[in-house]
Amino acid sequence: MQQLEHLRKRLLDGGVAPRHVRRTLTELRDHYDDALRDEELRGLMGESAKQAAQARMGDSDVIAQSIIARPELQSLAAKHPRLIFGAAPILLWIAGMLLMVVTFVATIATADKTGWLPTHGPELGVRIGGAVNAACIFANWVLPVLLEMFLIYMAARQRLALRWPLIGAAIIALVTGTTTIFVIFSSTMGEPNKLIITSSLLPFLLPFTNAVGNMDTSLLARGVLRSIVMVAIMLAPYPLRMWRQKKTV
Amino acid sequence: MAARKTNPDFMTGVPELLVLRLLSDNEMYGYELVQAVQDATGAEISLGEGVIYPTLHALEEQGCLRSRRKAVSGRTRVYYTTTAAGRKRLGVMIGEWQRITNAVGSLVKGSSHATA
Repeated sequence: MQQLEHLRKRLLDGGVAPRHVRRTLTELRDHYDDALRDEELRGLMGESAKQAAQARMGDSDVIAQSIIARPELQSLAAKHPRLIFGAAPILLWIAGMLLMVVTFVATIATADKTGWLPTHGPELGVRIGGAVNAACIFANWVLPVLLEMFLIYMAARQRLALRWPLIGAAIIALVTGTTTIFVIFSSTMGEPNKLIITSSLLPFLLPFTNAVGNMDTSLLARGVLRSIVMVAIMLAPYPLRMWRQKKTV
Repeated sequence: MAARKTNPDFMTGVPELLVLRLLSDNEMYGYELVQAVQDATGAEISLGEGVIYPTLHALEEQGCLRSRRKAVSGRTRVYYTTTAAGRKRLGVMIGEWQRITNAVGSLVKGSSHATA
């Protein structure tokens, strides 16, 4: 039924959660089949029965309006776009970073107890330095991109306005693109390992103090360039999803 | 889909009441409920698809209904039934309904006496 496809688009455009859209369409399809069977039992055949069943279903725009008007049926992203697309990516990124640090500390602590890995000295850096710094790059630059790609894909799937997903993508790309995280492993026994987090943006945001580092325009420019590339990658799923949606219609 | 006559404006809240009342006796699916409302009200009230499904889904979201898929005669349907919260809500709604209908009824009766 073409009307059901029209209804699907209207509901998604209206911010209805995809699970409710799917379920409504399934139930309406069943409803139409029941109505058609009833009309056939009443003696109508073929096109006349179909027309009568469709008339009983009512106007798809009226159905859409009454579903959209129900706040309970709206998706979380449609109800709270600022939270889902604006704040959640940054919070999830911070949580991801904390998880990485906790994992690192726990690994070293376990190694210290079991003795399967040297916890100090140059050998530790040789053994796990590559993996740890790869994890830092993943958490700092790859994780936010994957996170935003998912959110932008979700926004496209739910046909939500791109305003907040774009703002969220720009914020997280700027924060993470201008941030660098790495671990310096001790080169001598007894010297502690260091987790370094630097931001080329913070000194410009807090010019009254140099506690967060010195202003370095070339570092900031590199960070901003990285952020632009990250945003471009984050946006990739959007045209892809829109193309797929057009193809299915 | 052709347009069709809708119920009056003062029907707000009535679909919830009817749905909870009917589902408190038996579990039913959407189409069955539409027919049951028509049968129970002598076709005075007709809940369209634009009302029945949003009402069912919203009541389920609020925890007043529970749904399950059930295969009957080779077809899978979504059957709804009331929960304890739904039965409690029904009790409250029936009380409110009786209070409002008594109040409106006495007013309407009074005004019809006045115009007689």
